[in-house]
Amino acid sequence: MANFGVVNSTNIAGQVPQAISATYKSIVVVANSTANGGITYPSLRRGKIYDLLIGQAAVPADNYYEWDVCRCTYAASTAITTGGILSLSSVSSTFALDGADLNLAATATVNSTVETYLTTPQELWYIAINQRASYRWVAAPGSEMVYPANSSATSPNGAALRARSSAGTGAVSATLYFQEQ
Amino acid sequence: MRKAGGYAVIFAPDPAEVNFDGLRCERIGSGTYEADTFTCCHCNRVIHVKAKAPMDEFGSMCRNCMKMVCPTCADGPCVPFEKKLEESEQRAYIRRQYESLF
Repeated sequence: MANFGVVNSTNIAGQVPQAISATYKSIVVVANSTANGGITYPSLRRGKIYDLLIGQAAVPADNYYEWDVCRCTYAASTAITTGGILSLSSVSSTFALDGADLNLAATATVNSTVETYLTTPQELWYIAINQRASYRWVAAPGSEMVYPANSSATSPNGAALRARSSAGTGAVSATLYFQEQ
Repeated sequence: MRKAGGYAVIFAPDPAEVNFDGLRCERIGSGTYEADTFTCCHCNRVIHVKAKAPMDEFGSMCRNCMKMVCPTCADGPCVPFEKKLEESEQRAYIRRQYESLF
């Protein structure tokens, strides 16, 4: 079991955080895939999200930002760069919180220009906060948000952290910690 | 709440409206606001719990699992999330086996 952290900062792989709009955009996506970069198929792993930190990297103003975590279905055959997202597979060795752990097995993407791999979203977590506020959620052991060790394109196999705002157009910042088992 | 499944912290420099879980909207004061959360044992959804709120305002308890469930699952049958995970992974495993045959 290894712990990983994925952030949507520009530095991680050169993908610039997107301006938020009235429709959801996927900020951070982690999902099982046979096209993963870290560990070769069929080493799919169950993932457990245990810590979330979100905020708005925008000039302070009174706008409402909606955030959620949805189950998503990542298809290995889908082009990784769909919607302008950037695959982080090439840097999968950089996410482990303990550098001695294995590479990330899941596929991770950040800063999509659209919402990705969502057909009928099931929201696991939702909050709408003022642009001035930041938020952190921490799970107690056993109460994490879980996605299955499943490569199927017909069943949920990952989670997407999304954001939207009807009035705000600034960028957002997010950090997602999860464990692979 | 007793045996909370997690906790949430909001830091707001000014008083602000917060929409928790799409279920309730609440105005919080400036500074740090903290809330306990629980994770629904049937669908894995995270629910924020208002301090000292009655249980039926934010969910229910499954008398089979003896764990908290969200308002959406409160009236549904008892299907533990762990069981759903195992079924999903089993389906995917069988599908991969068939794919490897052909």
